[in-house]
Amino acid sequence: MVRGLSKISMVVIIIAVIVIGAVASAMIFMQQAPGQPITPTTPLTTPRTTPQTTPTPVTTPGQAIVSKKDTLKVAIGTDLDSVDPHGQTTTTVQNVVRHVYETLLWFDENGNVIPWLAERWEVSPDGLTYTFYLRKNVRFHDGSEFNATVVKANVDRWIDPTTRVPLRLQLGPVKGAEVVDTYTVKIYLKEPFAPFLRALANYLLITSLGIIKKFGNATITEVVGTGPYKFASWEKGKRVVLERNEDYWGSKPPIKRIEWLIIPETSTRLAALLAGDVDFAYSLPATDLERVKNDPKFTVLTPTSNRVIFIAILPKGPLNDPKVRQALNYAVDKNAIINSVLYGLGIAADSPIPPHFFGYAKMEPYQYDPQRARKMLEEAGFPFDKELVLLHPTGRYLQDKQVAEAVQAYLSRIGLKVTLRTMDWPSFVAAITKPLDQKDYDLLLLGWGPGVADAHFTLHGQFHSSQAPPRGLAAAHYNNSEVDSLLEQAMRELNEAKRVELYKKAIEIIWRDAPWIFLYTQKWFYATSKDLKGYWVYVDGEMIFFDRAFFG
Amino acid sequence: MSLARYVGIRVAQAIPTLVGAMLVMFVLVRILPGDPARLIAGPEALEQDVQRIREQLGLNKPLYLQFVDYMSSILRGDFGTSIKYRTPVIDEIMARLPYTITLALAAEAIAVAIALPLGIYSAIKPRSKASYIASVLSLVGASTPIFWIGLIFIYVFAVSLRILPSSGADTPRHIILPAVTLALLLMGNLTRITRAAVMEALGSNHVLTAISKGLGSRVILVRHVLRNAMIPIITIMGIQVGALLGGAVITETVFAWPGIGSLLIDSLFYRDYPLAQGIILFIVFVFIVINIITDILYAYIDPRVREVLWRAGRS
Repeated sequence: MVRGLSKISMVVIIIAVIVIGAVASAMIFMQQAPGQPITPTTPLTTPRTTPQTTPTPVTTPGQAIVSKKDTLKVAIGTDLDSVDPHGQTTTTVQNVVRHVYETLLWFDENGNVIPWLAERWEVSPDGLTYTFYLRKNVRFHDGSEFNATVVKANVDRWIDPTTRVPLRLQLGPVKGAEVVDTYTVKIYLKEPFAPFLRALANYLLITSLGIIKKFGNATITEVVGTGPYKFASWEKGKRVVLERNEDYWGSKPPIKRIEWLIIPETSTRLAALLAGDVDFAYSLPATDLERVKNDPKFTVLTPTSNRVIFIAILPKGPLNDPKVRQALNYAVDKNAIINSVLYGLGIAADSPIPPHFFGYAKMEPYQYDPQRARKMLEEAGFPFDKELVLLHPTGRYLQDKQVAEAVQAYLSRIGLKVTLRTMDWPSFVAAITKPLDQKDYDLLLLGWGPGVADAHFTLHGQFHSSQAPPRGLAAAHYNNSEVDSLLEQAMRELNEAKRVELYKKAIEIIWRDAPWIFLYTQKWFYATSKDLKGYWVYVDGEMIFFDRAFFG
Repeated sequence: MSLARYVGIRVAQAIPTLVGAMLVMFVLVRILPGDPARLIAGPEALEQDVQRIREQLGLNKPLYLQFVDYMSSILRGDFGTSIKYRTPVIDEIMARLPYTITLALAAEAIAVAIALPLGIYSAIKPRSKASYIASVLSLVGASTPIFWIGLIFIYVFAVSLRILPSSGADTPRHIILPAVTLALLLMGNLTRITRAAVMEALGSNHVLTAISKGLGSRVILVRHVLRNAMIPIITIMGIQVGALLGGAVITETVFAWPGIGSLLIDSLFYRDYPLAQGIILFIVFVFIVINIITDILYAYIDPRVREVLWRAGRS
């Protein structure tokens, strides 16, 4: 049988040839096949305009920054779902396309609203009419001009009920738009909406008239904006490539090309960064924070997100007592959870909204005090034999399952019986959108992160009685007419100082009523190679912009 | 020709299987709790906006009407539009398919190239060192979590040694790590099946006869042993390739390989019914085709099977 061996080696060689052949041919096939590049091809002929007098957050007057490398590679976790400027929902996706699309207003690094495609604006005293004076000599990547007609077309498409705009009402109660002259446009609201300018700066991405005419209310699949980068190609599930807009109206970005690589697994994103395959990686595993921090080759970013994480307490039975709910707040050691479960990636809650939000008011934190919690429950006559069910999603928020387990442990330490019910995100959402009488659990862990850092979006979405499920997703079914009225007034109040005051009052009541176990504001963990500089963090603490980034 | 007729019958038999599978998956994906409109819009979206999307997607229609709509559009060759990506389902699948096929073939080829000789050798020399190594390797390959192997490979070859890319699918070098990772998983089964099949064939009477006739060991191995042992080996290869063409979810995710598997998981996670249905339909289809091909291969290798099939074709 020994002679059989040479036969085997022959088989091996033959199979090896087949392998190489198969791989090579498939690779050729693959190079040709992937996703149709969506390319705005029209070359621009207009001369580049000089930046206007309006402040842009660029710090180098005159001299352009030179980047040592032309291509920036960025690792993100999700593929683009939609490139429709009015169909954006996922922050990562928005982050990519916002290098191409621009908005009338924009934010500086401190979160202040600044002029952008609109040079200035006026608000009517009744808060129903906003007049925008537009920047001149701005052109889209398809060569067409940016003007009032374009803005009106974008507003019209946004409010058209037949267009799929998932966050339509987040922009506010927009009635319509009117062209005053070529560079002046009015936007009308149905009722005063104080966060309108911030919402406008975040949501209304502007595309060209040609694109709107071509697609109408159908999903837009061609990416044409006025931004510093042009959309070059998109290979589904693999990468999106942006190329510098050489005719950009503002300061030209130092980096020529950005490749957004889609790497779904967090550990792989980290590996790609460590291996030098990418220069910047989004949302890395918290467990590796220390290790990357200690590596001199990388810079770690831990920006504060717009997302608060909390345990909503359903107002049923003994939990319908504010004293009981306060007791639960004293029972949980948030700082310990942040330090040991989140590896420091959180800010302990001292308000129902994150500290960087407009309308934030700092409250006296519920200090961890299990004895006090136990005593308060006893005084309230809490039935300690009652079993509480804590519902929580898994894989949705940073360490969500572990946080739920920690809360369970803290509550059982004061003698409560808590059972965890773990769900995948879709089932979890289905469970929390049911009406109160159909909910067979008592507590739920949820995160709430609106796109705009304004108290309205968290407080109204979570504590206005009109938003209780199934009509909305106000998880705790909170119902307090005083809070309702304060939130409504604040939504209409154009005077910012008065508005802050109204939110402070509402927050004080909410804090005392404790419809949640207030936990923390989540932070992100991003990392970049040391030589990448000049990128900046958006006000939502989640998007990163590379229009001023360079390799130095 | 009777073989053609046999294939014809098999294809005809596949149609009710496909329709049945469609009905089952149509119901199954909808039994899962979850509302695609809400999942796409996100929790922070207002209910009025979400309701509008539900209407646009036709999700407020009764279930049987949705099924009738779905079947009639399938018959027209329209696999629907993805809820999440808002593009034709067929386009999404076609964009990912080349990657899935490449990875499946490469992994299977590597597995076969190693497992087959290893299995044969360890059957011929059951007490040799190679045989022990083969058993240990197949045990390790079959029982280690593929996720872990994948990450270890990435850290060793991409992060530490820097000789291979960590993830992605750009050049032929990118396929090495995912293909080898997957091949490790496949090899375990393949080696064991090969070893058992060859050992069984070695012990059969006709091999004894051949040995006693004084035939050369090479002739015996190729003509008498391997030919008989091939049937179970081809069966397992068919199953493996079929499963791989349905997407190697974990491997694809770990290596950011843009194949069908990660798309399927993603579609289920967003309750993207049309996309999930389209992919599952595709997987069912692939399995049916592979089964038919495997049966034809049997007939090609084994004259006894051929005889039976042809008789069946004539009846």
